[in-house]
Amino acid sequence: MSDLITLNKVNKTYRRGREQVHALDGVDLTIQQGEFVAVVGPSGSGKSTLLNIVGAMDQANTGKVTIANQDVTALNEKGLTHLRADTIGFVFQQFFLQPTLTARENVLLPTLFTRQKHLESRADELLARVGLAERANHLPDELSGGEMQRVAIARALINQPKILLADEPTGNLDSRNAEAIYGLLDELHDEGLTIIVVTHSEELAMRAERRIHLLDGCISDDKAQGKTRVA
Amino acid sequence: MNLLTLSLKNLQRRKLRTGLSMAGVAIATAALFSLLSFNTGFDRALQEEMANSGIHMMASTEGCPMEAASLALHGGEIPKFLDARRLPEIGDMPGIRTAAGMLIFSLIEDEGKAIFFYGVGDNYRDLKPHWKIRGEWFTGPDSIILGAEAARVEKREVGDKVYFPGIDAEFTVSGIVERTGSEDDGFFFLPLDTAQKVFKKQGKLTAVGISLANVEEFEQVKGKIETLPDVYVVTKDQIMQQISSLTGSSKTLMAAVLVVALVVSFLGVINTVLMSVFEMLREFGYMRCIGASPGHIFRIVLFETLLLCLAGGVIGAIFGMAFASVTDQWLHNLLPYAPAGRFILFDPLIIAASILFAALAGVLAGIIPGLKAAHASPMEAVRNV
Repeated sequence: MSDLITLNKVNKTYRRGREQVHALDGVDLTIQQGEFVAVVGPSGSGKSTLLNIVGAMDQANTGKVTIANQDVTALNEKGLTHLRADTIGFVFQQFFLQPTLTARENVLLPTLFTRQKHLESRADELLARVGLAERANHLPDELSGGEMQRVAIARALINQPKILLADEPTGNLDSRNAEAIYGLLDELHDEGLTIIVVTHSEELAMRAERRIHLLDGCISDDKAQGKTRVA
Repeated sequence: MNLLTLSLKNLQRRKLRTGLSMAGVAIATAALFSLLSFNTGFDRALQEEMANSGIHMMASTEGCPMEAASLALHGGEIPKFLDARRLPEIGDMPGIRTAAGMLIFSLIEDEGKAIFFYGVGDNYRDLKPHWKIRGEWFTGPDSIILGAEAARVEKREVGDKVYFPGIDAEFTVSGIVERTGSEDDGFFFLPLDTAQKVFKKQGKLTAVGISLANVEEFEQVKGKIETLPDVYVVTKDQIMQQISSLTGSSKTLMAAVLVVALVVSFLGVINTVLMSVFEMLREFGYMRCIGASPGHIFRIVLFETLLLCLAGGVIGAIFGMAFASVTDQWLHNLLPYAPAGRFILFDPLIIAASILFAALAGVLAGIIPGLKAAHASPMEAVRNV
């Protein structure tokens, strides 16, 4: 497996009033292609900052970040936008579905911003993949929370990203719907997709093959777990 | 699906707010359309009326001949009078086709409303070739012809009698002039001799309307008439200029109201879209996460305001046309002098200009909200709250 994401002595500080907060403090991290990583830790430990940097939404103050062989620290706003569009799929707790677009249109939304066009059949395949083929023409308010998150996962996959970045993907779901999402993430991992999940859910963290524990902006623990990808 | 359809769907999300903003743009566009139409329509109608009337010049006595001329056209009493002996002298001059004498008097009724009487001779009809009279021309010294509006207000028909207590005189309606859209609609026309007798101005005239047999002899005829004692001549162009200056303040007032309407509507659109942008900041931030550039987001918002204003502009232009006759009537009542004929006519150029203006306003209105949205932070969007 090759290195897909590397963080080398990454520091990120920001100001909160007069106080200087060290959100990430000299973080070294390598994530290989095809890994399923859970990032855990208490609130304020730096999980969100790590997510922003790995998701190319924010830049480190010092250190070097490489994603899919691109030096992120050297990229400008345009380069970051392209990197996000082509390499990373995002899934969030709040779903962020456009309320006036159908499930199918929501899945196709990222294609408005990239050079990849005419992905309608891929959108249908993805909706079928997440078990929502019959709900393709439904608006978000006609879908359950679990269904909305499955649409969000299909949308995250439309541009065939190398990395799926999920921030509390089951945070708004009941246990039955959460279980469906766990199963879906397992399947995607088994197919070789690199998945990074930031979560407070122990159940979800347990599904990952590697668990990274953050504390006060530092990696306090980084260990492999029992689960490995089906070859 | 493309960015434009996304913008359209965003607008549909808040139908009431979008509808109200669109209505504001529509009203402003309808006002703009009406004012642009009025500005061109008024001058056209004035020129047509002057051309139809056949009046090339008017003669009155010393004082302010220009005022006399314009008052003679739109109604008003002038304290100075021309000697009626000048009428045949002018009429007999070579190059003159018609010289029609007029005596204008006003009468204040109990309610404070002024009634305008026009004493006119038979040849006055030659100056009003577009008049359509229901009934007949004067049938005798006690007959009266009413303008359409005067007949409506007095509730009189042809053959009815009408009594004026202010002058203690009763007349029989011999004819009613069908609606012209001009001041004529509100006037009461009497035979010239009768008017001179009733208002005790025998041998007096307010003015003489003159049409020429050959307009090329304009300067020569004017010079000759002005050799008559106490006679001053005002030309058609001078009358039109006078009328234009009379309506100038009304036009300025209407333009000022229009500017206010446009500014309010413009700010309304900015407000609507800005509110929508604030509500959607996280959505825009998320779009930035999935590959939207600031330019994409800016265009989405710009398309929203453009669609909003374009739709409002089209609706406004349609309403402007649909209510053209109502606006025409209102303007005729509002202006100190309004020529006959319609001001607001179907003019593709004015319609296109009005809609284009609305679209341009849409683009401008989209800049501030667009910039705000374009700078939506993906990090802020995905922060768990």
